[in-house]
Amino acid sequence: MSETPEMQKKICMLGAFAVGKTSLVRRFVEGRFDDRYLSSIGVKISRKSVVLTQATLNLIVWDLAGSEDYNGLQASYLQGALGGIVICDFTRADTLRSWEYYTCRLRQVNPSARVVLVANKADLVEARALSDDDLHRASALCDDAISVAPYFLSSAKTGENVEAVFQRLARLLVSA
Amino acid sequence: MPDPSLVSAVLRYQGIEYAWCDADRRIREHSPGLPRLVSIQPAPSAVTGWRLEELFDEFMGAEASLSEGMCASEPCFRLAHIYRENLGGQPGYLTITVVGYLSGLLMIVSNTSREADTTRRLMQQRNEVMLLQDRLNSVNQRLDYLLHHFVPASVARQLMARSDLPQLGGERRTVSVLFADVRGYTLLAETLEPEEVMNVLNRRFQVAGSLIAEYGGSINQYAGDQIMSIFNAPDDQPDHALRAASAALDTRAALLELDRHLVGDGQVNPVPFGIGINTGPAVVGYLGFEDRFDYTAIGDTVNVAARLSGAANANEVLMGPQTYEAVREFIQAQPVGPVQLKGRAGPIMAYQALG
Repeated sequence: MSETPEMQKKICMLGAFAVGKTSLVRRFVEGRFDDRYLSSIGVKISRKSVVLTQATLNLIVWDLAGSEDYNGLQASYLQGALGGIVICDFTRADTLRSWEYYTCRLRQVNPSARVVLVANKADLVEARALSDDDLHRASALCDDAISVAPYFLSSAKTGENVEAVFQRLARLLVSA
Repeated sequence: MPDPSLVSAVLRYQGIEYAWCDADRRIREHSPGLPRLVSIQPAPSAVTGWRLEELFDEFMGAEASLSEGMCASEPCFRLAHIYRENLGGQPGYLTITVVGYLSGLLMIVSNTSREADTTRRLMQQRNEVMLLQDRLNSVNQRLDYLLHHFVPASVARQLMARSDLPQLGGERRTVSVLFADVRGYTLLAETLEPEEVMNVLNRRFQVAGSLIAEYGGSINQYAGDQIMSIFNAPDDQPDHALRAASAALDTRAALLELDRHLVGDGQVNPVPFGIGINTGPAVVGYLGFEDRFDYTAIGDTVNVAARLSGAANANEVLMGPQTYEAVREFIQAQPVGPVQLKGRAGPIMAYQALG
């Protein structure tokens, strides 16, 4: 029986401050959630493998706290990133524009980068500030000639769709 | 260019870890403490001969920049505040800078935990303030929306602009008051389901309300099938009688048109309105009790307007004498004679506005 090949891929978590980038990584890598908001700075790198039928992907996940400030996102962070998870906060309408902003930033550095869009904090249904139409429109702005960027509603708190987001990006990277 | 051994001595003296690399990015010499900082675990005791990207995850994908950077005068790679779980026994941050040096590369790794911690605290405070600001803005927008939908827009603006809170009571002003209500409402409510009645009324109030608002009327209440609005309060409107009469005539025309359209489609029976306007003194302000205020106008002027509306035939606009006097130069009207209004001692002259 032949073993599936292993691949190492760098991916970046991108989005405005306090949208839940670190929480999504923590849920994905460590399977836990912390309700306190602790602002991040710099970069934290985590690793986790995703097993697909075609290959096992060792994801090097860059949690880019530098992206908390639009001007602070350096090209050094994005170099070598083959994919990005671009996150907005389901309860803060003004964070939605960062889907397009960060998708463009990532593609400027790597035009073939694969992107998965996420509206996080979907458990806070009563505080929802983004309609399905808003999300559809914003996601359409992130499509390019290579791919249509899928989007997910996720919750780092409940775990809803967190695994699915990373799995989806992993599949996009394998098929790239 | 300074001698590498001198640079190494200065860096060691400053407590900064470093590595000298060749053109192939392999480490040729490094400071003794450098191996403790690499990504791979367990950390090797010496890292001579390793490639930079083999030791630090952070260089992944940056190989081309590093190679190009050998000839550049600026740092070819810099990553500030890289989080490490274990940095001398506790979590901390590193900053890695790579510069081209003598046909190779010099990597400098400094412990920036203290600076990062200060920056993180400041950023945390800034972000929390911004989140609070977001929430405050969102609550304000919601309150503004609610206020503008439950009191007349002009009253809402005034309430938000003032620093003091509204008090019960009001001021005497000359106002024009417009009432409109459905002819045959009791029968309508008897024959339709309540949801249908509400839809019928809301459709008409949409038409009437937007026209009244267009003329600057303050719509202060809906009571069943009746809409009441005040002109010349709270904002000054010297032409208030003309505004009220014009709003009434436009409303009548628009409601007739709506009826024609809907009845033509066979959807519903006509829903005719009667409209009454009266001008005169009233006290305008807040009525109610300390926990629940309504902005309204009180006085005989208001009662007469309501009674004129009740006395008007289907699709008729009736005006009191002071309204007529104020608008007669601009609006065609005809007297309908002294009218005995319900509940009043004597008759008053009423005029039918024609257009």
